[in-house]
Amino acid sequence: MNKWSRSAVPAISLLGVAIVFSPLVAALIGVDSKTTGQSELFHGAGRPLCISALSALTSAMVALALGVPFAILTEKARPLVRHLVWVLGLLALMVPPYMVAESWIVLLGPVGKVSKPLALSLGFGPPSSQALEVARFAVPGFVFTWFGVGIVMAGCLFPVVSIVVASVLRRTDWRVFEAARLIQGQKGVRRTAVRVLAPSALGAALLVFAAALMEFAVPQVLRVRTIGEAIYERIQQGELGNATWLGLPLLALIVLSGALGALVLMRERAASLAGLEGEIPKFRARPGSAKDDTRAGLMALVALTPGLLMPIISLSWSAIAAIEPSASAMGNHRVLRTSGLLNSLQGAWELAHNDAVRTVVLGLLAACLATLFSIGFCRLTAPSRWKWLVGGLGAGLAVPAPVVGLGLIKLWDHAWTAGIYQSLAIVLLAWFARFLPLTLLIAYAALAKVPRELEDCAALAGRGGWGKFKSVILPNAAPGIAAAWLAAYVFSTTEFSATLLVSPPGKPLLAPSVVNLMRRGQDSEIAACQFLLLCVVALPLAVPLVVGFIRAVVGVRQTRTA
Amino acid sequence: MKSILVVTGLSHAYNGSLALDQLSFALCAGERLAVLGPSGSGKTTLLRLIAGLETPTLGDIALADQTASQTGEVLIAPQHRGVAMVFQGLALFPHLNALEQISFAARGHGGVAHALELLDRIGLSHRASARLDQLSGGERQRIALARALAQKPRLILMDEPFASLDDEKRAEMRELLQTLLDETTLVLVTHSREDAFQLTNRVLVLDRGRLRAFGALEEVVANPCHSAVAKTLGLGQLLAGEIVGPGEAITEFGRIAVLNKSKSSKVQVLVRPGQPRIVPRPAGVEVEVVSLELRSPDLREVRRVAVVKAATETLRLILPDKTVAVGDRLHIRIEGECDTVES
Amino acid sequence: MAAAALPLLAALATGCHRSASEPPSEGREPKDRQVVLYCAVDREIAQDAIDEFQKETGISVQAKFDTEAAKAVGLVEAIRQENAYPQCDVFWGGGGFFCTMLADEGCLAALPSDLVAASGDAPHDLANRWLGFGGAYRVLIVNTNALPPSSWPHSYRDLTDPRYKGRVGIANPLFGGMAAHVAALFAKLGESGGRQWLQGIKENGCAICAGMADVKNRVASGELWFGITATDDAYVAISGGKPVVVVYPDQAPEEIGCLNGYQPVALIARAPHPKAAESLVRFLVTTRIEKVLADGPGQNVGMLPQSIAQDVRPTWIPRGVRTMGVDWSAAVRAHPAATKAIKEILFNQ
Repeated sequence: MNKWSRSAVPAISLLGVAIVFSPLVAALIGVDSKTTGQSELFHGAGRPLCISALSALTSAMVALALGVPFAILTEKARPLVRHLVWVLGLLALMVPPYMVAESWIVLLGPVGKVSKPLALSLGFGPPSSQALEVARFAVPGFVFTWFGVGIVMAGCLFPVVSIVVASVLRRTDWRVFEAARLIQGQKGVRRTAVRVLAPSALGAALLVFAAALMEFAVPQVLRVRTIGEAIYERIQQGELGNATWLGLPLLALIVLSGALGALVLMRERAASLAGLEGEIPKFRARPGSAKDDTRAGLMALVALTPGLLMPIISLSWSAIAAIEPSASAMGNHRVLRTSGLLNSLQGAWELAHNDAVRTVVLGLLAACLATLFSIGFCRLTAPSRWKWLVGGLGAGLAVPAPVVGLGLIKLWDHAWTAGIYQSLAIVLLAWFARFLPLTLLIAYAALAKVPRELEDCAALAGRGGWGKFKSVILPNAAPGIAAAWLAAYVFSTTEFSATLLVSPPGKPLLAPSVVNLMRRGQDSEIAACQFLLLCVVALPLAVPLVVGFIRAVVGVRQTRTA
Repeated sequence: MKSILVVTGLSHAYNGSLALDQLSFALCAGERLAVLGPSGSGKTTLLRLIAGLETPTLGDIALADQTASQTGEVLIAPQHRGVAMVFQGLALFPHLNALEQISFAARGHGGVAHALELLDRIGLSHRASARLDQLSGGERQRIALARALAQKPRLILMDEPFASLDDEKRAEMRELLQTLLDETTLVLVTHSREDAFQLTNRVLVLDRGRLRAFGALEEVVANPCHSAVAKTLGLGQLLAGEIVGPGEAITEFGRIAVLNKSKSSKVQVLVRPGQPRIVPRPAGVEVEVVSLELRSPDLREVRRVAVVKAATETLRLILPDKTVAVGDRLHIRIEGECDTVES
Repeated sequence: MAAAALPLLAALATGCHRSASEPPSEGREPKDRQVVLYCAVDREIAQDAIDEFQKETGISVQAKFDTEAAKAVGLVEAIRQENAYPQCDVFWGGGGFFCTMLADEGCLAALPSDLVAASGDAPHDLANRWLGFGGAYRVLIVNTNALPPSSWPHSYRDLTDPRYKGRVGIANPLFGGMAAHVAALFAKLGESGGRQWLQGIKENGCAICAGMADVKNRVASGELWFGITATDDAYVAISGGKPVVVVYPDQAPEEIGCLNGYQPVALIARAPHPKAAESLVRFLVTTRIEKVLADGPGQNVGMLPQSIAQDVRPTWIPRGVRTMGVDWSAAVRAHPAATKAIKEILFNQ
């Protein structure tokens, strides 16, 4: 390490810690405003904390049950089906969980559009001749329980397990399974598969557990009282410091499970074998068949239903039901009172297009800055002991969004910091505090996968630091870096709790606007708002997909011409 | 001759354990050095230190009269040393095709034109656009070699480059290397004695991080001073012995004339192939045939070898005829003078 | 990089203290062409009024809106945390309850006395720190498919009626408007009366919903038979053609009346643009704006003297709805006891 690197390492580490943890520290030690009543710090927190843990545990287990077979069957499918299914899996990760929760209520709630007719048709309700009883009938639901929260979060997060399992499968020499088959038949194959996949799958499940614990919006939507409610209560009572302290047991649980999951995954990680062997094993799984495609498709249907298909169906149902303007619509608001899907889309765009553009631009900037910082951080700290700080910074993911927002207000609301506080820079700081740890973790994993020998080889071939990075590290770590960028973008653009608190007046951003508009909207308005938000979120995927499609079409045409 | 590489008092430790211990040697331009030793003896560590990829715990490394590394410091970065390396496992770039692998290193040394020329010299110009997973093991080896040579290095380091090849491919690669190397100085880490004998003219033997032999190949073969050298180079068999007089040692296989280089009375005696002979009774020492093997050291004729056992030690004995069977009792004597080696 | 980290650390070191030596807003140069509005009233309700103010006065309104999903962790909290160095000039919405809390914490400045005097019987703080207008009643929204007219509820006490067991709902009383409503009940009925009501709804399996809009959605879907919501939320369901009807509770002479959840407006203490702030407040608290609010999605009822005289209200809201008189200062004082009772009775803490 040269002298510049030696001084840069602690500086960048300190900067990372300051960005991520300064709002939390400010909230913890800042002087609280005068309160109308003090409550005992941890009184009444036990039960909500248990409920949070139970729902997170359910998420982890269901994510395992969905994610492992999803990965195995998808990897066996033929390339076209495989790519399509993985794109859908990625989309499931990008849909905001609170939208998924809303769709569950709409479709499977006590009077869900699917659950109630199904229950009635199966004879669980009163006969159809009894109109009043039919109107009063409600299906006993599981949606508004911690179990329901767990299922919803599993539907959103199972791709994490799938990605990890698929990664293990791809770097496993298939001869391992063939050898097991020769010895013990299919039983041997299953035992070997468990041994190969289980540690990483469990590591991923621990990450899902940690991520589910961090989610506050879904339990609110599903009316389940978790520790998030207790924290909000403290905040409402003006006890920001107490609220932050109350969040610490949850933070500890999240950090512990997340760290354990990351540790398990790192131990199981093997450097990519491509390029390192004298002979590449040509022994992969046998090529897929139509039967494999069918199995993969069916599994995708099952796995994607909770987190992707449900919101799509709910959104489409609302949109189709409201596609025509309603004569009974009353009121005379200039934007959202006109009803009808297309009118609502136009109205939502008119009201919120500035918010959308602002959000996209800021989201792109946040993603780029976060990714660049993460790459720089990981590269500089990799050869030193500071690299373990990446795991420590992961704890920043566990800080509740309102605490981040209010902590930032405490920190930056001064005369001499007005330039930052009164600009969108404060929103960037909020997003960094919340999601920089996620970008760091993903980037770290991506960069660590590139074998050190490749870097050494590039060095010997005359490449300096930047040359090595550009010509060897980046091409081989590109998918992971892209994932880090995408994660930063999606989470930033859909974040609303902290954004709402710190966004400067007159510069609203899309997520709070959309949530606000959805509050008292008709079906068409809600559909329009959700559609607008999903379009903004999916924008980064749309551009490369369109470019890829154009290139594929041009490539096919050129081949035909040749 | 001008020294291209001078290593002085080189030691290196990983996590508190010593991988190399006080190595000192020098290599002149154009020389070819084989680095031999058992697994874990520090061979790869030595190459990485020469390349500047590791920082020495102690000692100096000089390249062409310039100090490149010294205790705790790398003074000349790897990319400025003019050193190329073929890694164990090759370390080819997964994202580049065959031509691009070589062009990558040829930048500033003739570029794509030079890369194409090298590709042609290794017989793979028809595979220029092949991706890594489309190449066979032998093809990948050749590309790794061409990539190293594309830099026009003054020193090339090779770490077990032919480990995964069969004998025939290995022989082909040795021939190819001979034609490609020209006057380039070579340091070759290998487990293969054939590689060492055919490609190099100097040898360095490492054992548990310590230098046990360094010098011209013939000299080291003729005068091994350590058991590790004898084992690594396959010079013969080692017997436990005791010096009983000037130039004489007693072993389980009888008295042997020795060239004693040891100060101790307990020695290891190196018995070369052909020295043990069957003698008529009652001369020599009685031994039992415990197994029979077939050997063909020069690939011309197949010889029968008997493994004979005295009290506790065994010895291999080339059989003059085919009438010996397992369980037979023979009388043998070790003829000629043997070397004693340290252990 | 160290230089970049230092300001953050310095901000952390200084940011946690409320500095008594922070320069007051009088030291800042007033910018009369701009006003910062923190608006807890929904954007689509407030936007028309904001647009009219900007058009008429040329003063740019930099508005920041709240969302029900943020519960109380929204603008009220932002104003609290910014108290040492306020960014906002005017706070619109939040209910009398939260405005009183903010006023007691020193976050609000007194309104012009002539404005308060001209507001007649419109609700206002005793120390003139906030003024209410644009009423929105707290009503019972009833699903007409599930309940025939003979079974409709008429009082907040019907939430404890076993006939409706398990099919009634209220917004979470720990947050937002329902917290204010329960505090008002405690102030009105006394602590024992309030606790009795809470116990009653608990035993009747009352659903605790995410907010008033959620109550409206659940009743409209048929999952609940009725619940407490606000008229602006109820209007959404009615205009959407849902099978619901609005009942104004407790209208009998001996009853307590229906709570009026009006929209208070307040000036922030030490605001950066005091003159522009006053202009905005004077513009909002007018019959003209109450008409705009009545016609818009807020469907508010006029509370100012001239608005009452002109019968400013949406046509579907009847005249003469009897409202619950509430001493909001007493409600704020009753809030801790109400919160404690809610947690003990409804949430088993």
